[in-house]
Amino acid sequence: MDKIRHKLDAGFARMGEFIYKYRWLTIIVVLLSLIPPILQLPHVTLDTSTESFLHENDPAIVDYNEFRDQFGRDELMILAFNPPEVFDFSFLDKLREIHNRLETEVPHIEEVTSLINARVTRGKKDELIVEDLLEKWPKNEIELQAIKNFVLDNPTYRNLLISENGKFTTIVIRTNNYSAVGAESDDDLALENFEEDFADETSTDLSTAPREFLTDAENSEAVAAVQEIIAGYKSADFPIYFSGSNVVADYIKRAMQNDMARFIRLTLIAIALFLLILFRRIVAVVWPLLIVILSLLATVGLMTLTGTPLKLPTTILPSFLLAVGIGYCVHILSLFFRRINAGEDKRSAIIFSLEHAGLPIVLTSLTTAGGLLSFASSGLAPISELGIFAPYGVMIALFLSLVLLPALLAITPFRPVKIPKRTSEKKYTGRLDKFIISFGSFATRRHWLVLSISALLIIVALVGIAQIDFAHKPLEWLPKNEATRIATQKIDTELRGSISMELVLDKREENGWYSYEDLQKLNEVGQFAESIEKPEVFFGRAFSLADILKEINKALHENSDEFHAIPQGRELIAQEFLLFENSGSDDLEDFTDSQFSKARMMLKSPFRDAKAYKPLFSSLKQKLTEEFGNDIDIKLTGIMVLLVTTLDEVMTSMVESYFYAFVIITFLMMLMIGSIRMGALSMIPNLMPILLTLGFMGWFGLTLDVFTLLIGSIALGLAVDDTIHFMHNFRRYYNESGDVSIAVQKTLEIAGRAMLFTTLILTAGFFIFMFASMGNLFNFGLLTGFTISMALLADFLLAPALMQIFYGTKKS
Amino acid sequence: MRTKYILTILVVFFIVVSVQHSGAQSLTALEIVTKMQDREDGDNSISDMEMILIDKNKKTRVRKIRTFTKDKGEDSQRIMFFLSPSDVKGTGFLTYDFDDYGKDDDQWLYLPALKKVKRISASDKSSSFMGSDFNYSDMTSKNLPDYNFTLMKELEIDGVKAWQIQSIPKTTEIMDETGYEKGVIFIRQDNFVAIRGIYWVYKSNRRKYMEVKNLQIIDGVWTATEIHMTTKEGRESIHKTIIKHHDVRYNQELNENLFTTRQLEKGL
Repeated sequence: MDKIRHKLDAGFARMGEFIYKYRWLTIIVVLLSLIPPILQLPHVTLDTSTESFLHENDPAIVDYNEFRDQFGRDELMILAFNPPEVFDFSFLDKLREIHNRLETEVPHIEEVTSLINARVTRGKKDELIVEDLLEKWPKNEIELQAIKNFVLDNPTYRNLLISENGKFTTIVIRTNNYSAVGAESDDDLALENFEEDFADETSTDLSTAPREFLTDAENSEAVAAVQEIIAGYKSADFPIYFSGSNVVADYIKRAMQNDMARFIRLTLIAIALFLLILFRRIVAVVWPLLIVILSLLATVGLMTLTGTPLKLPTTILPSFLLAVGIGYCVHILSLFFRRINAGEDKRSAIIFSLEHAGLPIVLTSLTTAGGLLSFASSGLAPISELGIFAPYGVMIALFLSLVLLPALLAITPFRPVKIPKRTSEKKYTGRLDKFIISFGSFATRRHWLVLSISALLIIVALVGIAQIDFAHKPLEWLPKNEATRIATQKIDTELRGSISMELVLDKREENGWYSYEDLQKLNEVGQFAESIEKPEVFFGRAFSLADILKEINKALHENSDEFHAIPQGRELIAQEFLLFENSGSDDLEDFTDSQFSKARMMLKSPFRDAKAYKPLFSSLKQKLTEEFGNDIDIKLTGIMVLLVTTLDEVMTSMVESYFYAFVIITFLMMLMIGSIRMGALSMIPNLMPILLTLGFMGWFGLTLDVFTLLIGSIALGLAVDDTIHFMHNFRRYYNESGDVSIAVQKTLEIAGRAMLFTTLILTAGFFIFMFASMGNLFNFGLLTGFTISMALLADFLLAPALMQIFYGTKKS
Repeated sequence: MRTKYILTILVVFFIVVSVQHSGAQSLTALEIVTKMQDREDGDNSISDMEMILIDKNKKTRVRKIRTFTKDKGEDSQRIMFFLSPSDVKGTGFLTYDFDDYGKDDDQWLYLPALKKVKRISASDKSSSFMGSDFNYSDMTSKNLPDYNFTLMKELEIDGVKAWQIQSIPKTTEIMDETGYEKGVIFIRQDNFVAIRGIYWVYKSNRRKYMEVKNLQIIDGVWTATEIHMTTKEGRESIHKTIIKHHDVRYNQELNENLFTTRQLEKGL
């Protein structure tokens, strides 16, 4: 093992020599190689939609896309109004104005629905009236009162357009299902394409090329346009609540953009200060910053190149890469400047720093990458993307620190020695070193005490871990007093839900839904769903094919309430549907396919923690099995199902990724330390901080979600870096002296300071996330920073104690 | 002096040529459209209409409807009975389409399973005709003064000369009512039949493409016996309707009582 190590060190020295000799060539070649990914940067995209958390081939997404292809978009933007009186001319005038402006001014929308144009199907003697509710504007209070009574009595509008108490009314906006990209409606093009359009018309084939759904960017354009319009009407005494899962996603995206820019800015400032204090040279600030910025740009460029948008959890990538990359530079620079300050020439200083720092940097970067790589197989799309691109970024940072940094140093002129500063520095670091060493000597002396306290802490942590809970509640990522969050909660309470679950019941038979029995069952399921009450969650409204039919049946029977029911007889059902299809409403295609083989039921629900939906799900599923048995194919989809699937994936991802990270890193540790026993022992101080953090989360009720699940594997990958430095040196000095306490002392003397500094920079890098506008990132930053600090303490205290117990006693 | 002379000859030449040229297409866009609308279409007609609805999954539904139409003064009347599918057999629609545009159409329907005739009050012509890609407004004649017509160009379609004419409703009310914000129609010069059309759907990014696939003279009337209407979003076809007319007959002896609600109840 030592032989190999020597060979590798020598190899790095030769590399240093080569880089020094061909410094300009190296710089040019490296910079040129970075151009292709960096050129991609202007095309970078963001995606914060609910579905972006899952892989495109996830069964839940496949079902969801199939649903959207058939029935259009299920996500709705909801504007809720709470005027002193809904049925009042001054309010309705305003509502009409807003409605019309939304229709004409908001891009990418398919439909705007409100009391203004609500579908009315009603009967009057021998007449069937199909019209928009306020098509004929009421002329006086009496007519207005009649409309009010009609709306409040009609179950069709309940919780969709008007709240149960009649105090809230909504404008519901449905965005386009598909992206306008590539679907030009340009006039010239329409004519130009005329021949082409009819060319394919010779066959009855209709194009089935997959189309892209409305993009995140288009969604944002629509949201922004709505915001702008309502801003002109909103006031303290005329509140307008604007929500919907896509509105929440849009808020998260904007917060994410701001946060990311802020994180990068803060991280760069922190790094610059840190480097300036550490090295007191401008060049030692500029070159490392250049290295880490280039690594970051190349990584994001590669993501763009592969068509991977930045998603919410990838927000952490930039500052993470900056903090990690700077660590590599620090290792090289500290050796380099030690030599330069000692009066050596640049050539030998470069060779020396690569010879001594090259291998450890490679090893620590491998463990960091290994920890991150454990996410690559995650069922959560952004987490697995992080698991692919973050290790890639770490490798780029490694490559640039080992190749570009030395070349840059080689072309930079240095004043050799800085004597005046040196003494004070030495004095300062001497005291610091002593302080660090005191930890080690305490631990070796009182090893049983250290071990007992550690064991006790672990037991306490384990109790906490048993109470830890999983969660996926995107709404709570928003600040408590944020308008979108308030609006969502308001709409959830007053109109019983802002998101939906969708049921698609496929009978796989043409005209299958002409069946009275099945429609009756569908109706039952809807009524049952509305009656389920679980803690915090419920189905505020069920609406299905059955409701449309009931409505038309009632209208055909002089508005008699007893006919608000499924009509008996297949012929009658078929004819009523035909009538509806012919009555000027295209609503039917939103609830069944053209073959009447599928029926859709929309179930409105509040936007809560995905965990809360589970009991709701099982009740509904049970009812579905009761009613339909296994005769028909039933699919559950919609935003709510995506949230639940995401939560499930959080749990499996976490278990899998922790397991992989543990295996990968244990293996790497054994390989690097060159001893199975010491490698295994080294995992104890590595794992303890993670156990402590998880225990802390359990005790304080912090949940594991798409962010906090990252902590373990990331912290493990970083924490081992310090352990590697410790074990690496300990082994050498232990072999030399045969005495544990001497070996620990020497180890901390040589490596302690570097361990402390890299930990400080990493902790600072993670604590920066505490400046996030979103609560979830705050927790992530706090907990990861805490874990990494604990990891250093474990290396200063627990590792020496363990060495004393396992190696000290044996010797004596 | 000499160049001026040549120039004068050239100018005169062009004037003569262009006058001759414009003489060949002396009809204005409005005149062409008027001629199209006033084209002989018989006093009454009978046909069996086959309506094939094709959705984006290429699933088809076929409906067969027997249709009777009749001119009554400037107004027209239509009665339709579903022949198939069997579930809706006998369902009938009776429509009085009034020439006076201020007046909403009268429509009655009969559901045999309900055994009742209902008057339908639906003033909205922008809605789909029988769930097809055609609107009610496509099935009735246009009120020409509501539109601005522009002759865009002349061209040949399948070897026949045609005019390409743009029609734009003058008001948003008309757009709302007919469902279209713009249309480009292609009218054959020899018989004034609109054989193609593109319609821009109002408040939507959809367009509809109409094409007459089969045109024949029946009882002296140019009759489109197969029409395709495809709704597209960009280049993507969303839905398509094929209408085929079989056994078309014009100017038959039709009982006056055929176009009544009583007949609707009685069925065929």
